[in-house]
Amino acid sequence: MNVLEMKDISKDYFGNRVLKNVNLSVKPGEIHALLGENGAGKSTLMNILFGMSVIQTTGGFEGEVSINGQPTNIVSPHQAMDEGIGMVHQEFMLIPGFTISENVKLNRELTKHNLVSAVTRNPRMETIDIARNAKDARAALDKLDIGIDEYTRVSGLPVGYMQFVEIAREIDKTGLKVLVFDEPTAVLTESEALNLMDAMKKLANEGIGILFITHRLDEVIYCADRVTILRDGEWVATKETDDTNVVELAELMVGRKVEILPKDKKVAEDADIIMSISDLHVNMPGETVKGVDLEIRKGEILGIGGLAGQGKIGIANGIMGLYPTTGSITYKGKTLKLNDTKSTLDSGIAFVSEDRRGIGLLLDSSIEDNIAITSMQVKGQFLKKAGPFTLRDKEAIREHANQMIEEFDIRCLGPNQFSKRLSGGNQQKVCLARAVTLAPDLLLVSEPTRGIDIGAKKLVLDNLIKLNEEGMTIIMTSSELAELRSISDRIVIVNEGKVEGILHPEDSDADFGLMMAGTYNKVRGGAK
Amino acid sequence: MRNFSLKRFFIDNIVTIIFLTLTIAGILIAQQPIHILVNDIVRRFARNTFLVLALIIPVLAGMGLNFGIVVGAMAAQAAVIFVADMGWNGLFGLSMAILISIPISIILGWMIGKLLNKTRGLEMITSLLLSLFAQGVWLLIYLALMGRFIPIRTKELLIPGGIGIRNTVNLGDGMGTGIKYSLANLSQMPFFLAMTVFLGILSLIYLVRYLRSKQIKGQRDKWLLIPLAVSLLGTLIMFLGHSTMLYPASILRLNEVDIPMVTYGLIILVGLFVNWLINTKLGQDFRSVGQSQSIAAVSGINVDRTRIIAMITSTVMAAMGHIFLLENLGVLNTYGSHVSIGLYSVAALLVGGATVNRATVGQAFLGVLLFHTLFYIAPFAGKVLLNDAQNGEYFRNIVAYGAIGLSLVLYAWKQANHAHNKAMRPEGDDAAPATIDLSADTE
Repeated sequence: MNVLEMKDISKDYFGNRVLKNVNLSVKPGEIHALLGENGAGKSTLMNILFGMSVIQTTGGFEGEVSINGQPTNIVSPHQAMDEGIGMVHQEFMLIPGFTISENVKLNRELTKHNLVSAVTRNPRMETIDIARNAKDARAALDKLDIGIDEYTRVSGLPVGYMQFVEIAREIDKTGLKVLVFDEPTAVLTESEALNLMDAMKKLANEGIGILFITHRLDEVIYCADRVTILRDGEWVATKETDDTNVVELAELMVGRKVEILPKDKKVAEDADIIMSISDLHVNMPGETVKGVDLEIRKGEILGIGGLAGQGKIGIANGIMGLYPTTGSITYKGKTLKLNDTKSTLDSGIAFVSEDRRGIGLLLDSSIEDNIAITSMQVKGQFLKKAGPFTLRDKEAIREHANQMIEEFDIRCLGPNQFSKRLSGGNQQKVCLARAVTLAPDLLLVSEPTRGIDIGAKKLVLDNLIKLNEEGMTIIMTSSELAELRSISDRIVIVNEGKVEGILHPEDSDADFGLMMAGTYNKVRGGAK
Repeated sequence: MRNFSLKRFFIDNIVTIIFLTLTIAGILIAQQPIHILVNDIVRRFARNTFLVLALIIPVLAGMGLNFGIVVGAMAAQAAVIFVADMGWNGLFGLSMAILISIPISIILGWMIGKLLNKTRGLEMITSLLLSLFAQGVWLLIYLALMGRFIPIRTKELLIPGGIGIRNTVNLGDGMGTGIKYSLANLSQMPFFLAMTVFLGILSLIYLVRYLRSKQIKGQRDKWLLIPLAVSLLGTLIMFLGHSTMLYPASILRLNEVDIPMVTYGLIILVGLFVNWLINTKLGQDFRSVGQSQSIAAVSGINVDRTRIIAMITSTVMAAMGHIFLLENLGVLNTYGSHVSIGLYSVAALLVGGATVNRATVGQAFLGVLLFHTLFYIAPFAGKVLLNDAQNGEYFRNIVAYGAIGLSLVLYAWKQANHAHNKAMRPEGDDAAPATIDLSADTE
């Protein structure tokens, strides 16, 4: 009998279907891997399993969840815990200032009576029994073969150990039936990841069902018994790991139709290098870049792809000096000053940020001001002198904004509408218009189509191609592989903060999948 | 055990070290007879320690330094004025004042807690502004409504026109009328004897803690032997002062200083109470919420309720503390007594080495001692140095605000430094060394 069974699960957010008839089952003592790209529906599935409020407040879900064959309706994380479902979070739910023991027993502390609690009968007045809590924590740590002192404070621990503290907390809860690991190895070194997977096997041997969410294919093969693959919210396959291999999994994970947009010109393989990056490190939280070497050819569209959190977003942000950066960048033969956004802009590089609403736009300013502001700052355009004062040249700004609104087809009430009121797609066009106003030779675009509708998507991509044909070099970072493949000349795949490889749009699905999972060089022997 | 580094110790305790230096310098410059100095410190310590202890729980619960204790003090003053109006004297009057202040301060604390839950992240500035707003309400009630809409029986309490409470309210003569000294007069001991008793009790506490440390961690915590030895030595020194004539005459005059034993006994009890509370499940919840509201919430702790309970505890303790302060002072400054206690209590706690998110009972005691010694000595030192006591008066204000400013700036600086070091490590967090001395950060 399956300890966990999720049957025909469907879910839509405001008419947007994110899960379609997904099936998933976990047997006791089994390690079941759940595989999928970002946006494949893994998180939504887990939110349903844990009864997160985001599911309840958006109209629940369709389908059936059973624990030990018993159909259950989980409506809160607390209830999920009571049902014996535990989760080891990707971002640690640990209190750094507390000891390991305090974290393991957080809000489940063992207490003993004292005078006040005996009189008031208030459990909150009972004294914490430090020794017994520590003993429990010790027992949980011993089960995992971890020899750390349970009185050690979490803040001083290496990341690998924090993970084990999280696991210790889950197995300390009585009646644990299913333990979900949400991309636990993403932040670990290889040896730490091996330790973790061994611990998972040990737990599975004790009869706990383990759901292992990951995108590292070799880890699936190494430790999982079965694997379920999701793609675009749909169930693709469930396989015994003995019957499959890394290449097949990669193909199943990525495979979809790719439409390559027609481009008039091809960039020669030996075109001039406009920018070369070497040993670039960017400390962008969650998107750390750990030593990237890259050469960008003049006139090409270079796509940067990879899974979320691997560092692809960090590259453009590092070039722009938005996060602490080390390494060296040569642009048009000159060394680019790092960590200095102004000088990067001055040298003719423009950036469309992935964080449209956060740093991309001045939300409470008009469209025309948004379009003109960087040029006013960097190039001194749209300004006029009035005695000792420098004033903005309203007429010039208005004229330019109107021209841009027409050119990019920005649907708005007029150039003085607040950018906050625009739809996501139109906001993106404003961002693009501002970048283009700078007349850059190199344009960095991050996630240009995130959160915008299909029509606007097409327009944005068409605009990028048009700008490219006019001679602009473009580096486009995107989570959507299909879109990278549709317009790029070359596609760099970033994994674990480094360049895993460079592919052409026509290369096979399996190659892309393997590279994104970081197993390409192992499987193909670094052929390229 | 934590590796001891002098530089780190210095940076971590910079505020306390600066104030220790200033205090010692002040004492040396002022040249006050030691028994007069000690006499004053004994009284100031008795007055202010309760209020500083009231600040600890909100700090642990992540609500910062609670300037809202001013509101608790208002509850205390309302009760004291009522008791004075009723003409209740002595211990009965004091007990009634405490009894009346408790429900008022519970309600006010609940309201402050509610407000602070709505202004998350801005607790300190909110409580500060709230105390200023409360002062406005206080003025309205006691200056404009008392005697007009709220009847007052004792006409001497009123301003001659018949409306509003007088600027100063006399709380008795210390001999039985009013509540003045009703607690202090219960039992007094000369300095050396009293100190022998207190240090003896302290030694006992450390001894018990040392013996019990084996039960908790499996081995005896040898670091506890240091305070144990120090307190035992102190007991011996004080006992010799009490029973022999070994010390010079100027020091022996310390015996002229009377220690109010009940008041000090209560201070110790409240200190123990706070420590006990921290070790209950509720105390653990305070700390969990203080460390991370989101993680506490995910673990099933009712964050909002816990924060409100912290606020109520603090406000009630502040009200009681303020009553003890007035009992010892003997005079109520109707429109001023409560205003300054927020500032001085916060400053004292910070001087003791506490920060916005960390405070202990020991820090409260040390802080009160240092801050009020400096407070007392400053005018005398000013007189010696500049031939004008008034300068020392100014210096008091610089000390109070300076303590708060300095420790907040240093706290922010440390945080920024920490964040900077973290950000500039090229590989980010995941580059934590694979092998690490795991005993390095053991508590």
